[in-house]
Amino acid sequence: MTKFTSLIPAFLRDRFKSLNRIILLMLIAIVMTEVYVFFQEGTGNLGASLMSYTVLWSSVASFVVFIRLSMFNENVYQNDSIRLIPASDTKVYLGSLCTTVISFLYFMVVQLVLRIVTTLLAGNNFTDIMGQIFSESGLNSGQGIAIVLVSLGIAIVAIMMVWTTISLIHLIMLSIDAFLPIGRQRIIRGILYIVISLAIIRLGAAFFNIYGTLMNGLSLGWGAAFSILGVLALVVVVESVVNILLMNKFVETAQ
Amino acid sequence: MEFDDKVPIYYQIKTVIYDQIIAGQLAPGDKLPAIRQLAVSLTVNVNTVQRALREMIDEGVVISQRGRGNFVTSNAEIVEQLKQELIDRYLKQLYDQLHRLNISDEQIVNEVTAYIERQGDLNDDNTES
Amino acid sequence: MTTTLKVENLNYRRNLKRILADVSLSLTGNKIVGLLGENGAGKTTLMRLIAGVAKNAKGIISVNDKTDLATRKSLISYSNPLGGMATNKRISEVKDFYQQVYPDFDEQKYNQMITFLKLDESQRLSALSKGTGEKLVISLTLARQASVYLLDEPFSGIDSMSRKKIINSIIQWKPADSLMVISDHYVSEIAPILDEIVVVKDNTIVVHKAADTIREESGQSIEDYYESLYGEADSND
Repeated sequence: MTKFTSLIPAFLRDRFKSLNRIILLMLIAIVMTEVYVFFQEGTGNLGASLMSYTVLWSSVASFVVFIRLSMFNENVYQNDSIRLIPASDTKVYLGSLCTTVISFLYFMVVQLVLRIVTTLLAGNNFTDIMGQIFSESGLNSGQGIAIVLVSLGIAIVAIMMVWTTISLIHLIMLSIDAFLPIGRQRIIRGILYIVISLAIIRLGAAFFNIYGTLMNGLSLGWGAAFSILGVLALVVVVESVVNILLMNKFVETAQ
Repeated sequence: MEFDDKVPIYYQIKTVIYDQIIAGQLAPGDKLPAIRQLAVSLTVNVNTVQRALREMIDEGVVISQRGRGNFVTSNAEIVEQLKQELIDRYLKQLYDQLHRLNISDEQIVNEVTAYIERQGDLNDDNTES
Repeated sequence: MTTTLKVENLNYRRNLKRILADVSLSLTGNKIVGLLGENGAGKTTLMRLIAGVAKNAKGIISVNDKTDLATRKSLISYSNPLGGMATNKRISEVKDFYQQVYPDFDEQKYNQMITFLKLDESQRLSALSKGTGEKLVISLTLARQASVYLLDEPFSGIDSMSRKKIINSIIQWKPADSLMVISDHYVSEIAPILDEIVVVKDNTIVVHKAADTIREESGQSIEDYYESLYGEADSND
């Protein structure tokens, strides 16, 4: 049997390779834009433009990274080279989702480092900026770090929920696919994709609506933050259980 | 080597090895190649080689020595007997076929003698040229 | 310990089409078994079900009495290791992946095989010819120390030199106590290495016999016998 600890690095390799390529392209894009600004406007505006173009290019890169990681994540289900691995479907599913999240965290760390570096390059003092943020918001640094951590947690679980939802739609489709007559598949598949996606989004909206009404009484404090985190995590867990079940019972690899 | 797919492969393997023993390519007491090596060189399944060996051991032509391998028997009598059996078999084939064509025994003997003489001449020509 | 692969009353439908009906099969020992049948007869489906990558069949599949999917995957080496793999990968990267995810991967054996088959590890999958691709597949599949090897049409569309080398690799590197199933729709090229043949026709198994028994009983070659099942007996004319 393959251990979880062997699956993770095996899955990570491809994702990292792909992310590193995107990061490299992003850096090249930033440098090229800066060179262009330098020739157009001289050195005067260089610092400010560096920061704004970094933000621009890294948002583009984030979008591409999200798409790429979703593709890696979805690629597992019909892939013989992965699904022949002697490990339970639960292990393979969680291994893949974990590596997708780890890869995303890696990209976020790279982004953070890039922001710090560009901030410093632009002539600002990083600790000054952080200090300013904290003093303006009237928080001490301990509270600040706690807020950052909780929002980070919510962000990560939220993006995990997006991935588990994409998988859910994909896996429901693949499961239904096996029972459709050949020939009509393409039309029916197209319609089903739309119907199922809408249904899940509506279901999600309704769920969060009820949740929001319940939460309305509470002000936006720690309790609210943790309950958002909890609810998102619950959705991730429920969707994952359904996904693993579908994967195990119905979803075949491509021939 | 090429096998005739109409005849059991183990039987053909046996024939190949018996031919080698009678022709002297495998001398009495010689060690046979390892089973997997035989299988690779003949391009056949290991199990089929094993079956051929089992039969050769049953017939006393090959002696299996535990942990050492398989050997051609050093009993010259058995080899001689094997040779005789083969000669008989080929002669029977020839005889049966010619007999079926209503060729008399006497004529068969004459034809065979004449044929051998012609073959002899042919071989001589070949060696001279 | 000898290997046993057991399939009991397997029924499988997909896209409202019956693909396998009431398939039962029991294979034991360290044999090489030919799984024969026309294209589309269901050979690949049967292998995919045994390997656990096709789903939703009724019936029981067990290897050494184990039916659990993950356990079965650990006992079976199925020859589609490149299925779904990115084609820009190099052979060496594929091997690294394999080594990482299969605890039974024998690197030494793999190296012996790729040396024998003259594979260049720096080549990318997309650059491999059909024959070279099959050689890589065989090396990866046999490098695992499995109980059951399932080779799905390892000779289709490749030249005779590659075919001979692959057959030689199979004889040389198939573990002595393992069971091997090779599927093919053209039998004569592998007939000499088969212990038994299983023929799939009309969604089910119609014949399961020892190869030498067929030769002894019918005096036919395996190919003629196989063709006669399809009513193409005119091959004797």
